[in-house]
Amino acid sequence: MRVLALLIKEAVQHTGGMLGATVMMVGMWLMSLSFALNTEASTLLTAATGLVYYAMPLAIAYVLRRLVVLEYDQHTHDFLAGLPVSAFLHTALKYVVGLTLVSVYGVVAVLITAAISSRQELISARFLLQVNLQVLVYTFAWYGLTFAAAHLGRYRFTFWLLAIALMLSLEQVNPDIYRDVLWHSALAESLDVTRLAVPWSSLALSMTWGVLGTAVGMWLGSWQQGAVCAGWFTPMSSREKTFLVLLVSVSWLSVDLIEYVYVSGGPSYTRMPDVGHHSVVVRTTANPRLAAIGAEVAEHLHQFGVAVGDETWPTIVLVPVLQDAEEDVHWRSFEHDELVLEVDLNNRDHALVTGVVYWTLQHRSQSMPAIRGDMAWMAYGAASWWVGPDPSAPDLYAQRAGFARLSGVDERALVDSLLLEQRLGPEVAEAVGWAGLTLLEEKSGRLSVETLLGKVLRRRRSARLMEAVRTDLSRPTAWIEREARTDIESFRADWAQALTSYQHQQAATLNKARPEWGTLTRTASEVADVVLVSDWPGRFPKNEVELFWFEVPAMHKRPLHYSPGSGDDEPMVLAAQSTPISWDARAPVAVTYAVHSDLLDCELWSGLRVLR
Amino acid sequence: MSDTLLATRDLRRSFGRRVVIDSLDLNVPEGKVYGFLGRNGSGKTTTIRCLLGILRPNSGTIRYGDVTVKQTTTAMKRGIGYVSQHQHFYDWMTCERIGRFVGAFYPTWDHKEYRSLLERLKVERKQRVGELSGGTKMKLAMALALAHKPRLLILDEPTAGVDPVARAEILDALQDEVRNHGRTVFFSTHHLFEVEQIGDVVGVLTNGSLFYEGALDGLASAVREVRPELPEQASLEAAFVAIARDVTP
Repeated sequence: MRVLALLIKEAVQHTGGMLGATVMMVGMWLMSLSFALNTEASTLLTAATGLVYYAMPLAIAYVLRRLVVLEYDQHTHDFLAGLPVSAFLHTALKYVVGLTLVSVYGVVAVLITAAISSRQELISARFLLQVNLQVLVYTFAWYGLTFAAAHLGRYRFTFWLLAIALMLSLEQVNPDIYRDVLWHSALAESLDVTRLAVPWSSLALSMTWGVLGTAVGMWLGSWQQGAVCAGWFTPMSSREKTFLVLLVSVSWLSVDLIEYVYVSGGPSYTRMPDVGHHSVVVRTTANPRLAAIGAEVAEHLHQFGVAVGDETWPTIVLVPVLQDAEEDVHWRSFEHDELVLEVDLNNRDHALVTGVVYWTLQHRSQSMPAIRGDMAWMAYGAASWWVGPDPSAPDLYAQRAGFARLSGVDERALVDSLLLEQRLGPEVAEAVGWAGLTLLEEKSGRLSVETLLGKVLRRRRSARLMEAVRTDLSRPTAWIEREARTDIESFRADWAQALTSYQHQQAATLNKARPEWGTLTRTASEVADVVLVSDWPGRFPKNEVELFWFEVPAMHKRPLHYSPGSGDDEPMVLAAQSTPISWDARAPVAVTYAVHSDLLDCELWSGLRVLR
Repeated sequence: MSDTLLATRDLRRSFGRRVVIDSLDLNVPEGKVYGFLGRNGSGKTTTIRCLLGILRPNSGTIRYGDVTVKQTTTAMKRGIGYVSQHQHFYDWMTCERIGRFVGAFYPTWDHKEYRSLLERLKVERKQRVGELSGGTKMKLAMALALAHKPRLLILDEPTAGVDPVARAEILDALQDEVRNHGRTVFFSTHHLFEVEQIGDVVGVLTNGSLFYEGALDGLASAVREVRPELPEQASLEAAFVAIARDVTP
C-alpha cells in the first residue's frame, strides 16, 4: 500500500518532466544516428552507444533533479519525513523509478538502432546482448554516482566541478583513465574493439563505481531520515560561496598546471641510443647510417647554437622510414620535448642532414604560424645555408633558386616562403631563402647572418616583457636593413638579381608554375577527373606527373596551404588521374600535381585547383 | 508513571558542537494537553523531530506507551498524528488526493472522518493544495493528522502565522479531540495564552533543558525560586518572561 502510494505519487508528479526527458533523448538519438551515418561507423550501433555515452549523463542528471533535488528544494521531503515511512524506503523507490526509466532509454535506443542497422549489417544476438549489457552497466554506474551527488544539495555542483577537474588532471597522467579507472569504462572503448570479446573487466569496473555511488546515495538519503541531506539544500552563506569558488578555481587552474609540468609516461624514445653530443640530444634506432646522420646533425646544431648564441634544442628522435616517403625528412610529432622526425633513407645523407636541421630550426622558430610573414624565408633557408651545399651537387641550391625567378616570382614574393612552397614546392622555397642568406653573407659577412638568425630564433622567447615588446616592434625588416647596411628594397632587388644570375640554361625548359595547367571535371556524381592540357607539360610523359588529391575539410571554406601527407589535407590518392570524391558534398576536393626534375633533383609543383 | 504516554530520559541532541537539547526528561500524561513552551530557537522543534524519529538523538531514550527505544520507529509513528510548523505539501495534489496519499501509510485511516474534518475545518477538498492560504494549509495538516485517529497528537507551533479565526478553529478542534476522543496532545508554542486556554500540563524549555514541568499554576512559584523578585500576583506570562529573558535563544 505504502509502496504503491509512493509509486503513484512519483508517476503523477513527474509525468510531464519524464516526457520532456524522453523527447530530449529521442532528439539526441536522431543526432547521434545522423552522425553515425555520416561518419560511416563500422556498426550503426555506435549511434546508440554514442547516445548513451554522451547524452545519458544529462538525462540522468535531469531525472534525478526531478526525483531527488526537487523533493529537498521544495521541502516536500519534510512532509514525507513526518509520515510513518522510512527514508530508506522512499529513497530506494526513487532510485528504482529513475534507474528503470533511464535504463529503458538505453535499451530502447539500442534495440531501435539495431532494427535499423540490421538492414545493412549482421548483428548477432550475442552482440546485441553484449551492447545492451554495456549500456545498462554504464547507465547504472552514472546513475549511482549522480544519485549520490544529487543528495549533496548545494555542494553537488562543486562536487561535479571538482570531479571533472580531477578527471582532466588524471587524464594527463593516464590518457586511458576513462577505460582503466573511471566509471565510463563499460563504454569507453569503441564497439570495433569490444565486439571481439565481452569487456568483462570494464563492466566490472563500471559496476563497482555504480555500486559505490548507489551505496553512498542510499546512505545519504536515509541518514537521519534524510534530515542531514535536507540541511545541505539550504542556501550557501557568502563565506561558503567564496571558499567554494576559490576551491573550484584553483582546481581548474591546477589542471593546466599539471598539463604543463607533468610529462605523461615520460619521453617515448628514451631507450633509443643518444648519438648526439655537446648540447644536442639526438636519438636514433641502431642503424649505423642513421646514427651517423644523427651525430652530424648534433654537431651542426651545436655549432649553429654557439654561433647564434642560443643553444636550446629539443631532443631529436630520428626514426627510419623504409618505404619511399613523400619527403626525405617528415615531421611526425612533438611531445614531451621530443621532436620526432621520420627519415627516408632512400635519399642522400646530405639531404637528410639538411632536412633534420631544417625541421629543428623550424620547430625552434616557434613552428609555422610564428614564422609567417617577412621572417619565414630565413627559417626556410637557414638549414641549407648553415649545412652548405652538397659536395656532389654544389650548384643545386642556386639552380633551384634560379628556377624560382624563371617561374616569374617577383621581388615582393621572395620573402613569402609559404606562397613559394605552394607554387613551386618546398625545395625551391628553401633555396630562395638560402639565396637571401647567402647574399647577406656576401654583402655583410657571416657574423651578420648569424646575428640575424639568432634574433629569429630568440623572437618571442624573451623573458622580459619590455624586451619582448621592443623586439616585436623592431621588425625583421629593420634587422635585415641593419645587417645588410642598406634599405630593404635595395636588398630585395639585389636578391632578385642574384637569383637571375643563378639561372641554369636548361632550367628554362622546365615546366613553369601557371594556373592553366589542366582542367578538373566532375565526370559522375562520385568521381572527378583531371585532364591535363595536351601541350603541357609536354616534355614529360603523363605517367611522370604525380597528382595529389586532397579533401579539404568543409570548415576551411577554401584550401589552405598544405604539405603532402600532413595536417588535415591528407592526399586521398596519389598519381591517379581520377579519384572518387567525398560523400560530403560540402567538402571541396582539391588537386595539385608535381613533376620530378632530375636537373633540380626535386619535385616541381603546380598550383592548386579546387573542385566544388 | 503508568498514565504517561510519552516520556524521554536524558535525551540529548547536538549539531556539531552546538548542543540543542540536553538531558531532557519529558513526561506527557495520557489524555492531557501538554503545552511545550520555549523561546524561538530554544530547541522545541528539535525535540519534536526527535520524538518523531526524524532526528536521531545523540543519547537518551524515548518511551511511547510500553515501548522504550533510542529512536522512534516507523511502527510507533503510525500511532502519532503530526502537524509540522511549516506545511510543505505537494502543491499539485488536491486536498482529497493528499488524503488518499497519506491514508496509505496508516492502517487506521478513516477517509470518512478525514472528509468530515475537512468540512468542519472549512477546507475545500477539491482544491489544490498550492492554492490554499497558510492558515488553511494548517487546518489541512490538522485533518491529515487526526483522520487516522492517533493516540498521540504532536503539533509544532500549530498556530504560528495563522489568523485569529483559523487559530480559534484549530484550538477548538484540539479541545474537541481531547474531550471527545481522549487523545493526548503535545504541542509547542511560545504563545502563553494558548497554553492557558487548552493546556493541562506545561513544560518550559530553557537552553535545551526542561526548567519546569507540571501544572500551569505551579510555574510562577517555580520561577520565584530562582527569580525571588517575581511578584506574588505575577501572571503566567510574567513568570515565563522572567525565566526566559536571560536565555540565549
